[in-house]
Amino acid sequence: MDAPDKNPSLLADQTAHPTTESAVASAAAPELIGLVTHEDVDRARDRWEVARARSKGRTKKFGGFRLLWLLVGPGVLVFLGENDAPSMLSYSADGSRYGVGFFIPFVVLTFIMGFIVQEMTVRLGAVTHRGHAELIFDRFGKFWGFFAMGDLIFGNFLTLVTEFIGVRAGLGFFGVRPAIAVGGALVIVVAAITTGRYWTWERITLSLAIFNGLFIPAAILARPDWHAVGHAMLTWMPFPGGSRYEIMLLILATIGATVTPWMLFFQQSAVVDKGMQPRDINAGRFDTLLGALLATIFAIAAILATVPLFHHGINAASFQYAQFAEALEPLIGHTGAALFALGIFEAGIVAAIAISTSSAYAFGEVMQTGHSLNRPLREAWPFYLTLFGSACAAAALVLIPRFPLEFVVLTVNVIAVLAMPPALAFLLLLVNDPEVMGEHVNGFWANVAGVTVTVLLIVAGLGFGLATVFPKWLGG
Amino acid sequence: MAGRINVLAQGNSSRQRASRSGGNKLDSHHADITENQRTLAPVDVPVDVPTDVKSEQLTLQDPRAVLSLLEADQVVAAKRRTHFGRKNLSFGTKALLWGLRVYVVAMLVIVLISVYQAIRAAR
Repeated sequence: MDAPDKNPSLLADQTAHPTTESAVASAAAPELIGLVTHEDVDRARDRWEVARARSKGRTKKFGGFRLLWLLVGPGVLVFLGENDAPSMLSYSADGSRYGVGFFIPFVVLTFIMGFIVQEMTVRLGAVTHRGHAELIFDRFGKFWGFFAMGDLIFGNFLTLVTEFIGVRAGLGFFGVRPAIAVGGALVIVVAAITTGRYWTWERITLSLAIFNGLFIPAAILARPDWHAVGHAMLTWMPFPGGSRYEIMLLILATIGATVTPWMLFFQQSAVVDKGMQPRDINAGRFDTLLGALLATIFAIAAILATVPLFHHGINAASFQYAQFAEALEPLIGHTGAALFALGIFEAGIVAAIAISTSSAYAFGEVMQTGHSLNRPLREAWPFYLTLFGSACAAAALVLIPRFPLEFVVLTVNVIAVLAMPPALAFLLLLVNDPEVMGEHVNGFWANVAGVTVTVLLIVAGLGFGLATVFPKWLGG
Repeated sequence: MAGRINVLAQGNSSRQRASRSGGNKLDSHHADITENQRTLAPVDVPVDVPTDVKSEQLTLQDPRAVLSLLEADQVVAAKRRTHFGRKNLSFGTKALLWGLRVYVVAMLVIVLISVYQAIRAAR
């Protein structure tokens, strides 16, 4: 059996090309036969299930559902993961401070932007079988690669801290001590990653993520004015009044609740780890659309659940997490408030799993060590150590007495938006690169949409900058 | 379906067997499938769709079956030795990337200012 270090022909670096060629038809097949890994075997098992479902789907009436069930995952996870604790806080702030109005259709717009961007990562992952960080390092070199990684790791860590703040606050509503809440969350993160199988990890995380829907019954208990919701969707009115700076901050935080760099890195790596191929791109699009749709509904539900605070004139300017649930209790009842608090807990725990996995994928890709959830712990310990270590460090910070948590919460979504344009530039350059994408290169309208999203994010960032530095210019 | 369950069970027992035998371990670098080749009949694997799919039987102990289900560039060993080469960045691309880098740094400074103001106002 030839190991890579014993066979010089296997050491030579070659140029990769986008391919749909089966590995057995590859010129390297005889060499590869001796080098099949656990990761390959697990991935092949997933592919076999997909091939079987695809074959049955052609003959059976509802066969296509089985295929979608197998291929759905990264898109739903990335969007429900992004409906995280600080995002739900942003939506709650929108609802409690401005009621039903501009922010409801605006949230829909931000998720459309999110879909446009995330669809590109599906194609990149399915065609190249490489993660986002790996492609940036390969195509743009270490200099730009480390910049991109710096943005990602910094943003991810800050976001991870806020997820544990959400976990702590969500369970705090039920009287759970912070150390127990945070420790329990870490146990769930570890339980999810120690399965040694991407498929199992994905299904566990998806089953947790679906509880993001807890905001729906909370919203129903708040008895929303559906006529006003319909009016707002059609007219984008009423537009929020008051301080322009505060509105700009909320607009930026709302965008940051939907479009962030970790989503690009995570979904592409998850698509690769799932073993998706170019023939699965349409299913990947459906997965991404489904995720965006669910996340939009849950985000709007969070806005509607907190609208009673607006109607009762309760100042939610400095509310953090559990304070929303506590303030809502007399207005929508204990059940509604408890659902809201559980929703914040769920949002924190799912995002903690997804974001720490995103950091670990990127780290593994850059360091060229094993970076797959299909690998056992002993084979990819740097990958799992990064994942667990980042989660532990973030959890520990949350437990430090008098740590300025409000600093992190205030900035995390804003930083995500500000770091997004460079990440989108790399993404657009990659999906327009025929050497990388082959026939799946971006089309004209995909480029128009991608550039529009990038320009909108830059304009929103500049607007925030102007409102901060020159508040009088904007009447703030 | 029974066939599928059997196949998966075979996969697990094969791993355990390999692990016990010490020298035949499946690890992250290479899978020694000699033992599996001895005990299992070879699978005739066409390039596109494996015949196993139709018969609901799959023997993933045979690396050819594994390779038949993956694309050439999807196999870990193949990915390790193939890389997309460096792209030649045009002046326009470099200017765009530098411009966005300056934008991020400038905006981060503004964020720090705003957070400082917010915290000071809160206290």
